Amino acid sequence: METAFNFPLFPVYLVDYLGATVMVILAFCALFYARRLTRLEPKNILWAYFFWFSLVMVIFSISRGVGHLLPYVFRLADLPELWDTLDPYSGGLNTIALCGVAILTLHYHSTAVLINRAKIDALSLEIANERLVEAHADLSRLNQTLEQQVEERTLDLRLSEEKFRGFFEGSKDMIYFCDAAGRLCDINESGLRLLGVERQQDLVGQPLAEFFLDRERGALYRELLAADGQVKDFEAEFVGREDGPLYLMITASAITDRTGTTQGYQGIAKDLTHFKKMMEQLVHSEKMTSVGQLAAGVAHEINTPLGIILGYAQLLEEDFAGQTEVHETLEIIEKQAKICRRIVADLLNFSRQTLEHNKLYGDLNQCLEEVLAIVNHTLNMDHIFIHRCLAEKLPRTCFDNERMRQVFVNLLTNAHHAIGSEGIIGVWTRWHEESRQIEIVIGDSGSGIPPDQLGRIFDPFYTTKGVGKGTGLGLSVSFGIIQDHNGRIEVKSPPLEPELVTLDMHTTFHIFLPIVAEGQEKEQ
Amino acid sequence: MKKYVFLPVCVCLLCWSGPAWAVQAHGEAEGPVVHLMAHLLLLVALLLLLYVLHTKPPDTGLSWRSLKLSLLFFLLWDMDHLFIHWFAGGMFADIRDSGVSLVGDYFVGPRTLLSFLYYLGRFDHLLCVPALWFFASALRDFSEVIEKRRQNRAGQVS
Repeated sequence: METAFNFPLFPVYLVDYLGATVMVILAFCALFYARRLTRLEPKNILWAYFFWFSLVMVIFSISRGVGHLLPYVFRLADLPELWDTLDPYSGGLNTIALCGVAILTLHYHSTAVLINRAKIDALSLEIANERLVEAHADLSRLNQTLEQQVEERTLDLRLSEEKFRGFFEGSKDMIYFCDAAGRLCDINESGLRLLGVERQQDLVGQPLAEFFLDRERGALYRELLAADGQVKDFEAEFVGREDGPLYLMITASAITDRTGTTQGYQGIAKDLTHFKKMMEQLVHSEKMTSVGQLAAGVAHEINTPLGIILGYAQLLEEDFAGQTEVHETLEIIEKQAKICRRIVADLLNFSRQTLEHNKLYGDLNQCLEEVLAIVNHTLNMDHIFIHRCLAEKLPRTCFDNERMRQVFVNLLTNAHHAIGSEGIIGVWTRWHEESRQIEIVIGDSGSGIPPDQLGRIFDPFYTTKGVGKGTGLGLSVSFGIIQDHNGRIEVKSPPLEPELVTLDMHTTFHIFLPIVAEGQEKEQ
Repeated sequence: MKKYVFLPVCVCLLCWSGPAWAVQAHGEAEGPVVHLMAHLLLLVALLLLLYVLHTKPPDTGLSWRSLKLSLLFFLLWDMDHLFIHWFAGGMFADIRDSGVSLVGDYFVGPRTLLSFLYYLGRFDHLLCVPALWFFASALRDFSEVIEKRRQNRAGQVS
């Protein structure tokens, strides 16, 4: 037998004894901390594993401690056989504890794998959830931005709408919208007022072309609009209010969609009626002034030789009083010279070159009644009835009675000539308080004045009467006299007022005279 | 109430258990073999756990290092036990504890490295006590970290 080792076992026993004791203490410490961990985080699988690991270690350490300590105790107590009985149980418990620790560890591993997978899934879900939250936040921001943009756009639109609505409704010109067929869709208040319509519903749906006085002009408007897509400064007369046709200047354009298809038309029509009338009056006035200056010049030049002719004719009449034939010839010369002088006087009247102003404060109704009394007999002879409608409370004004009589006589004579026989002459006097003007209307049921002659009737020497029946100075002189009274004279043929039309008036002359207070005329 | 009856019954059955003749006969050598298998099973489980903690560490820090050290000591202790049980299991039949008193006991074996290692292996508590020490300290550190974290959260909330 080879040399043997002889190691003392007491150090082993000592280490076993102390180690087993410390192990039990440490195992309980571990169990304590593991228990604390499971309480702090009950859902943590690792802490649960440690807890069960510690618990098994406690059992193992106790069992092992017993297995290490009791043999020595029994040996010291001289009862070694007793340990032989307990030894299998202690060893078995140790084995079970070892198996328990091993199974717990393996089980923890598989559980940890599962939990890791679950964690990965949870993490994925969390990431997805975070992305979802971010997406939701982005969407919310976008939504807020969108809402803000919509709000801003709505505000802009509202302001724009208010601006254009204000422009549309407040414009003094007619603004209209038509559909593709040319029917009115929308029109502003000024348009309604110009066309003499109270409600917009009455106009909507009506073709704009129907309002053209001249249908051909209306057709041209549509053709131009369809061809060019716009018309600019298109002048046309419209059927308008009661006081006559409207003279409008239209600027319109087509409304097209993205494909270029015409959806409708929009336009602005400027009312030039008043402007045109003013222009006509201005032109007429200028013409009259020119003619008046010409007439005045001619009258002045003729007046002097005419006076000489008349003077010498009268002297010769005295010289040849005994010679009947010569005297008669001289009388003819004198008569014709006087006719010429009257014409010259009329020309001077027309041109307002006369210096005889005898304007007095009086009643125009009375003046008119006096004239009517004079002409009444003549008119009755031709079965012409006079319809009088004189204002009861006509204000008094300053006027030249003689010259105003001449105006009335001229107008009544013209009316008589226009009627011929069997008719009616209407005479009205009116008081327009708002414009402080007196209106005298003299109308007749004659044949009326053709439109092409309306602009020339106040021209000197313009007459439609036969030779010898008129000099063509009556209306010119009347025009001059009324102008001299700071008034105006207008002719309507046919008249616009339904009342006058009802009375079968075909032509009416309207004289407008301003009210001039006593003493004011002298100042003027 | 049932569990208080069940556990004592199980303990009694374990204490007075005998060979299960009706099913299978278990020889006397079955105990050491089963114990060795248990140690092997624990060895595998500890290796796996160490491998997992090494390759996929849940966290870093002193407490985790303590835990790994603990497992390493447990592993060494398990290997030591395997060696001792195997060695004591019959390779050298004449290896024995001899002596009348505890102080007088001596291990007498052949003068070989294996005998020397066996003697050293008997000091297995020098492995399992540090193992449990590191284990307990790791658990203590874990719990302290968690409590500190909770206190910080509470402080932030308040």
